[in-house]
Amino acid sequence: MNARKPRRHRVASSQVGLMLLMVAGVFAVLSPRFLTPGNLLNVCTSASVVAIVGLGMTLAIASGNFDLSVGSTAAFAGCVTVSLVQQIGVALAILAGLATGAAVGLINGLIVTELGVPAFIATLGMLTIVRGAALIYTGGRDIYLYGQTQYKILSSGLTPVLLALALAFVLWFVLQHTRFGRHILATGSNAMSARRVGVRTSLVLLGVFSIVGATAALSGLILSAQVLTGNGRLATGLELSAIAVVVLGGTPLTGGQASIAGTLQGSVLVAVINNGLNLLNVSIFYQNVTLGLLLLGTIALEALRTDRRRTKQLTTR
Amino acid sequence: MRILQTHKSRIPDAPATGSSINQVDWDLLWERFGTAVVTITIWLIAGLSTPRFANVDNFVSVLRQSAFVGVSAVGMTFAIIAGTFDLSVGSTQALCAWGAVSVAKVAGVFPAFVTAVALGGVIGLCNGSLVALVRIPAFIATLGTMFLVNGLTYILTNGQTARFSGKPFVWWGNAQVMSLPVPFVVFLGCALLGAAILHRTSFGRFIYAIGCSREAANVAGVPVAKTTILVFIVVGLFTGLGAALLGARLYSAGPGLEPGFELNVIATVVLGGTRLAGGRGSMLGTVAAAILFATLANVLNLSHVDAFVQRVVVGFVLLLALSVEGVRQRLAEYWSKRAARIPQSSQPL
Amino acid sequence: MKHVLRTSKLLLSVTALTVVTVISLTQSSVAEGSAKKKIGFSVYDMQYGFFQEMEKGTREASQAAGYDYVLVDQKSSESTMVSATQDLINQGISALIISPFKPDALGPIVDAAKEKKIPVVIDDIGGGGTDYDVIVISDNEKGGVLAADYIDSVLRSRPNNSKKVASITCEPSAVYAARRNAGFETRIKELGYQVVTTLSGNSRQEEGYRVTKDILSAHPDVAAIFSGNDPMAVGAAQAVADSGKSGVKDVLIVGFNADEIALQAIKAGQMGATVQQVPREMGKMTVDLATKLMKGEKPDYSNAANREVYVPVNLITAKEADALLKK
Repeated sequence: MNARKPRRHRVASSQVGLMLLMVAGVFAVLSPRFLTPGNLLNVCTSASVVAIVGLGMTLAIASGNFDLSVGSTAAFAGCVTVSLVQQIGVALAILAGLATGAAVGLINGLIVTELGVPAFIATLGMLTIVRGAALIYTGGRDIYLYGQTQYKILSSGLTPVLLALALAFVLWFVLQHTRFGRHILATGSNAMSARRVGVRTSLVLLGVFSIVGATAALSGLILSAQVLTGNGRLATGLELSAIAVVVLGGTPLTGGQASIAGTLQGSVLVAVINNGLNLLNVSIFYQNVTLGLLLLGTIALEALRTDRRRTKQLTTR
Repeated sequence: MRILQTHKSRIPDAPATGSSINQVDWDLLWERFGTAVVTITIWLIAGLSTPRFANVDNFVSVLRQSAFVGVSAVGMTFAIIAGTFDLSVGSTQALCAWGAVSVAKVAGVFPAFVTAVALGGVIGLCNGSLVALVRIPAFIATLGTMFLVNGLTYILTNGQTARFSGKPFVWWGNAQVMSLPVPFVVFLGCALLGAAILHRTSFGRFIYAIGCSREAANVAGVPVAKTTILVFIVVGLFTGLGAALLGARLYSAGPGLEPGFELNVIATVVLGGTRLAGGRGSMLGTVAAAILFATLANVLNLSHVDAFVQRVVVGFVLLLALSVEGVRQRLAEYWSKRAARIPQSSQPL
Repeated sequence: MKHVLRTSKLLLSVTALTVVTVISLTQSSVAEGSAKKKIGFSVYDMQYGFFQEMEKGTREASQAAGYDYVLVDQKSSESTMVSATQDLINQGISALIISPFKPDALGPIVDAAKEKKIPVVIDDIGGGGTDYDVIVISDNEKGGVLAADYIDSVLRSRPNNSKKVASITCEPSAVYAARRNAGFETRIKELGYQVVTTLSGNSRQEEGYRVTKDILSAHPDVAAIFSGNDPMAVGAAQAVADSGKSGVKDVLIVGFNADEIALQAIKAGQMGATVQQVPREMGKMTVDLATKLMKGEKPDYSNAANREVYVPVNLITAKEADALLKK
């Protein structure tokens, strides 16, 4: 990838939008309450929590990396913030939480770039370490903030949705219109050649991991604000949901491409499914099956389509 | 899969020339024996510091515990050497173990093991077909089957655990032969079989070839699709076998058997020196790493380490073991730079 | 190169074997020592406040009785439950107390303990049909019934009361906690209510929150929600509050466990009540029972056929919550 003349529209595409419309249509028919404004806000809120960390993960995957530690990071940041709210006030506590997340991300980045541990394993190790750290920090106890309604600002009304949209815009802008963004994609598509043309890939990755950490922290903060509690168990398994929505959104795992809009749609899709099945009173047993089928279905469609395109190109050549 | 590579993957070593004949390749040595050395070190330290560690009962239970992750890790070693991996082994394990226990109850031990292994093989076939034929990246395909199989297990079992404590069945999980626990013997058998397949058959050579470079292997006439499907079947078969052993060990099995199993298995294989990027790896390392993890959990329990701290220690050991090579390379670079005193500017990457 | 590798491989394995053999020979002869009796406790998962309390009770009682005390954590995994408890048994404990993550997998543990003549006391959850010596159990089903009766008594006095209630369960693999919801649902139906939905919140606060939002969307007129544990109940109460309703006056929330967070929430007027279990008491009881068993005495069973000792469950409302918090 040439750094001077970037290909602006290197955006991955997927069938997720179509899938989303279909699924939403089905639920709208089956459940009269699905399309009520209250429920839609509800869906968007729960989508936002996953979307925010998913957006960070999109960046990580676009840079050819991965972060499995986001669930633990979210829990740790949530605990830090909740424990500090009463001492230093809501705003500062939120900043402290985000900084914690970014710091964890930075450590991830350092392990990957300086010690040469593959991101998958580095962040897997950090998954257990940071979860342990969160539990040690809280002593395994719940820290609750009943009465501290100021902290609710993070989770009430449209805030999570607006945060997710704002973050999506910022990350889209960074990817499309800044040198840092181009360097992320360059690192993702081929780290070796990116280095040869002068991209400081180590710095780029440190930046990316810090951003992922901060987004994970933000998700964790919203979750902790929703329940007004911080504890070490928060957000267990968030990493897989985050990766699932990124993948559903069509960002390829090969790196070098990112679909911000896809990730947003992917997280709405997952939220719609969980919500719709709950509205219809379907057992939780079926939620995982649906998610699995959907993941495979969407990606299979995508794979078959590109396959056909590829064979067409071959025959016309 | 690019994401699996290290950030600064080295340019493959130039073939060893005459000058390096007396030089020991520390990286290679570490890759082969590092885990074994770490395991032995931990045994030494534990043996000297915790009085309860070095007794026969304890060794038996450590070795037994290493087998349940280990057998599945033998299969996963194939997958990772081939440059892919399988996230669905946790769900597969739960389904197969449940199958084994339920069948053992009505039909006996042999059918139980056959059921578990067959179920594993079928799921492996699905994974392999999705990856090789539909061309879904392995990460996504197996993430999908992970959710799918997990949900299916809940639906099949209605969330209930199957239980069976018939002596012939639980013998496979709990008994000892020649003072070695049966699951561990099976595990060693699997590892030997795996090593034989990897090093003595054309299938094994194909796996290494695909792991090094899929394109090159394809050009060289390796049946890439067929081999990939087979690799996933192998993962499924071993996972099924391990699951049956675990079912026998626990006298029971049900959905949600071992949360995070897939990550433990992958961590074990990688800790054993197999490269996530594919193309390099061995069974010896996998065996050593499985024992290492079991030892670590055991030692932490014996020395009464707090459960929250245990999580930190396990993660730390994983990172430490895997960053040794990177650190050594950094130091070597630094020393050679100092020795040569060459200006840094025109250094090739 | 190959020779170097091969030689070092051989050398390494030989050294390893020698070292291990030497150590095991020297150590096994020293091993059995101190005359003090040792109580081993295998806990479900210390991440939960409930089990922290239980551990505290067990530890304090053991130390007060002059025993050595060792703890292992099952970390919510069946396989770890068996291996970690095996680690306990190998440490030469004189009695085993266990709050099993999955009672169905107790078989190998009880067998191993019996082989060494170690009495097994089970603390809550369930006995899995094994040959344990005694189980201390709080009546999960009864707790659900208590919750249903309480909800009925409150709702009955309300004008234009809706007869719709919802039920939130723990993770699907927690079969024994599911009995709370089963007890609740059976009883509340008998009382003439309609259970509009049963959803799982996986025992977790944030999922209790999310699921409750969905319940409120689907059934805006739901009058009460029963939750299988307190973390989810607290999440549910927050979701109700976020929808501009009250967890006491509009949608009555009742939880289970009497965790500190729930007591605080009840005190703050965010949820109605919780069903109390007494984990700390239960911990103490298990140690007393273990003492008896070690002396060869027979415990006083509540139900001798199943070797069960029952622990009462109580309903905790605002009044009692205050008193409990002061303790």
